[in-house]
Amino acid sequence: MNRNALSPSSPSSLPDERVSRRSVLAAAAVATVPTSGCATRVRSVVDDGGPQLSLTLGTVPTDDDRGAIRIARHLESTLEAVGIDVTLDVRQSSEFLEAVLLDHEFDLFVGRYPVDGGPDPDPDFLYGALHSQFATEAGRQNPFGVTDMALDEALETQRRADGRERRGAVESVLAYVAERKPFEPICRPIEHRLARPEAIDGWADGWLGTELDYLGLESVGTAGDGSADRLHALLLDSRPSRNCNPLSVTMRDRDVIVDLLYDSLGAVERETGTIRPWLADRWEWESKPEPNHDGTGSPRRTTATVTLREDAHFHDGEPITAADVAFTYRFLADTALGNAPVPSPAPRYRGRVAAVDDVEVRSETELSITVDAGSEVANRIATVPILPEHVWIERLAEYGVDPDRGLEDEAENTLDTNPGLEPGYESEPDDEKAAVSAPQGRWGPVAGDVEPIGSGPYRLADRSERDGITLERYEGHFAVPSFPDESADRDGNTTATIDEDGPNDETHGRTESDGSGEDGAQSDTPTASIDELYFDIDPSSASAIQRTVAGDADLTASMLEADALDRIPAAADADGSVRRLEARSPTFYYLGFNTRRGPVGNVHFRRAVAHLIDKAWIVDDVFHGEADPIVTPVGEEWLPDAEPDLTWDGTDPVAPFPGEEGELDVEAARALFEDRGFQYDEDGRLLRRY
Amino acid sequence: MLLEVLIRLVVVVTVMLLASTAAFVGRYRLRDTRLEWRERVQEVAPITVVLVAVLLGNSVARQTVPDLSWMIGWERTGQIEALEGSFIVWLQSQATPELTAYFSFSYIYAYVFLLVFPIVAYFALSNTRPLRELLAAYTLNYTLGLVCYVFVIAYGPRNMMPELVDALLYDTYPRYQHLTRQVNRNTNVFPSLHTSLSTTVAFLAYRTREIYPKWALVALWIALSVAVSTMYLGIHWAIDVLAGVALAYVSVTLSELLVGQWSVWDWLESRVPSQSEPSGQSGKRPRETRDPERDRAVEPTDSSGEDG
Repeated sequence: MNRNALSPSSPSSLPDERVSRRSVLAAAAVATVPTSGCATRVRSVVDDGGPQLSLTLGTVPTDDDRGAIRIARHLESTLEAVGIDVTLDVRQSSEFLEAVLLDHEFDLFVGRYPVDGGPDPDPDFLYGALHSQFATEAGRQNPFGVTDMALDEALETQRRADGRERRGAVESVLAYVAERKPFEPICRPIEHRLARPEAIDGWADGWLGTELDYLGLESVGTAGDGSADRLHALLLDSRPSRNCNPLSVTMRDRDVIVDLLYDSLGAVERETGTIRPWLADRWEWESKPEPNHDGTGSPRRTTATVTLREDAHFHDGEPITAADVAFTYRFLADTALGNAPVPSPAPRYRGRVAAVDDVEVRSETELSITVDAGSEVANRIATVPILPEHVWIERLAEYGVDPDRGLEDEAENTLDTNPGLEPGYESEPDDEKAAVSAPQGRWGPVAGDVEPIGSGPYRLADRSERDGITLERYEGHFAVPSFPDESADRDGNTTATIDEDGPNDETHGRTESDGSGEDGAQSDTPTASIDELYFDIDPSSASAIQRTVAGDADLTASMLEADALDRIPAAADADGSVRRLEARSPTFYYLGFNTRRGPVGNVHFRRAVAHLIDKAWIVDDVFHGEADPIVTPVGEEWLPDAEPDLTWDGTDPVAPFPGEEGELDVEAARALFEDRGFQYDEDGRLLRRY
Repeated sequence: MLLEVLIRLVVVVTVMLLASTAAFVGRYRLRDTRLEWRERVQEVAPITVVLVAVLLGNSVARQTVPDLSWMIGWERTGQIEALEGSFIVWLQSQATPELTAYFSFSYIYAYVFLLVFPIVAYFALSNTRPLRELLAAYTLNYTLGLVCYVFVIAYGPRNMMPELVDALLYDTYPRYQHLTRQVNRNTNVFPSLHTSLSTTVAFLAYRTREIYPKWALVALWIALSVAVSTMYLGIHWAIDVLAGVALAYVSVTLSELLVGQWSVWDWLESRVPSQSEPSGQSGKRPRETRDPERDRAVEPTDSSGEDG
């Protein structure tokens, strides 16, 4: 609390610039010894039941995300400079997520927001992030506790409408985020990875973040010795080795390993950002306008007729049927399957699953899914992992779940995926069996570890906690070269097939039919050419770079931290023994506001706090330029043309930082709070009353 | 990567051990050891078994303790860190490549050497009490340290204030992180076991200074270097180091009290479990009184322990 004690009296002595701050603190250390008694006295006055505004700020340690804690430390110092008492709470990733997503424990939190898919994600992920219906839930959905009817309407419109109307709705959502600050987007990092071209090949561009990217990889240099191809990738996150449950929200952010283990109906194609049929052999989407409740607008429903591949199997050999798909959506909507007093929706994929209205099994391999969404976003529901019903029913039975119980009021094979809105779904408490307790996001089936039986092109071969995880190719998968495939084209050249697929996908957003026919779908299936993927858990970016450069590993699978990039030797770069993969990330660093708590619920307070982050300095100093400062959470193509101005042009148009080079102009910053009606006491502490 | 680091560690420490054995232990003690080793091994076997059991238990507990402590542990807030963080920052402001190399060496190699050499040196004594006390003190360090880890969760300076404190060891020599993460989690910083085990060796080396006068000086110096290195390298806070010294003091004191209280061999002879404690006390006497006779001239601390 040295800085805290110093800052109010000498505000200008709070330089965030690395060298000067360091020397100031070093000098303070020398001075601390004789004056420590004095500092303690100041401190005790502050603690003395004073009405100073205090906040908790949560983040993760340097080992987990150097960018996040550096942003948090910057914010901690600027918040203290404006007279707020801040407690920085640093927890390992899984504990941080538990506090943020399940317990809603912090006032403020800094992290990297996980967004699935390629570098240009669809803004529909904001539906799950911000819709009021999720404000009381525990999980990835709406951790900010935002409730706003106008925002809900904009989110629903962007989900249901197409074209210009949808664009307009997205713009309102972005304007809402910028103005009312449920969270503050800070910067979008550039994802860096390192690969050895002599070991692997096959990435189309610098992106390696999705299942299909891994399928594109090929090993080279193992010519003819008959040994199995093995990719040795370094992973900087130990969580996949500890827990393989695709629904565990504290154990995963984006997780390509789960994507490789669990197939979904559709897969995201990097280059176009679109979703292609994957477990689905083909699908037809049919949108029809449906009058709104009050007859206004043009909300849509879209019904997909999905035909599953007949040749798809789970890793235990069981075929994938339409019933498994229906079970998956039912289970994700309520993981207690109607056995708990209140539904317990899965803590991941919630925003997507909430769009599913109805699932109807037509035959072994055919089903129709009705989605409360327009054609542009309807197929996002196809990106959830498909779970084997027989495995999960057995698992749920261990927790006392009777799968038939929730279906009593329902017609056979149909389900309602928005159980919270319809009382009929809730089970009667006077049933013969006692209801199970299924706290959302925490109960065993969604939080605990599982033996991952999915249907992905790779299955789990071995894992050792915090050490590594080995996936082996699942020979029963349709994307495996040895797979008996009637299709002639089997050279497995993904780069070419993605190009072929481009024109098809251009149209698929808006046309009714997306399946390009059986032959087409199979011939452009990327093939998994590597026998074994070994994800070796490495403690740091620095070490991962060193090992890859030394030829100890083939690839860094995780994004490398910007701070370590200068460790790639120029010689290795020059002689081509390693190649850098670079791409703009769909994820972004953000400051989250828990609007349920105290002063953070006040929009004026949030707006003032948003000023206290020097995004330009963060990008320069923390990320060494390997990030872009941002104003909105989605890519530039969605920004409004006219008002409001949400374009970064050297400074934040909505909440510019008062000061420069990370150094706060304390007077100007305090004025931001005073102008909004906040008061300071004579010691310069911001008062809690507001 | 880990194997490579391990081999290097074993080679360097072995060289250091051979050199120090030649310098400190001397030919005559080694000659006696060749004659008496069976007896000595028998005497230290029980406490060795206990230590090995604790170490094995520790490696198992290391998997579960962090998760347990996230549930029940006290998360040390940033306040202590902010106050004393400036000390670590000051310490690091003195950094030079040479100092970084020196302290990295201290943290990894000198530390392992410091823990292993006294086992060799004390085994070369006819009186096994110093060795038994050493092993008992190691056991206590690990046990009490683990208890602290359950109840206190904290990150070290490098994890809490990356903008001010560099992870000098891991930045300069990333490979060592493969080694240290086998032994420690990044939330296990209070107390510093590096400090407590090193200080334990230094305390015992001071007690045996009449037998190994030069070793006492060397041990003190290495222990000091290791303690400073944990802070210099941004791994521990000053309070962790102070707690480490306290833990060492407690462990050494307790081991002095406990060692010699029970004898497994007497118990095995009498075959009556209920009598183990009193009979251990009396049965121990002959051996204890025999031992100081051999080493009394050079080991006053041991006999004073007997008197107390």
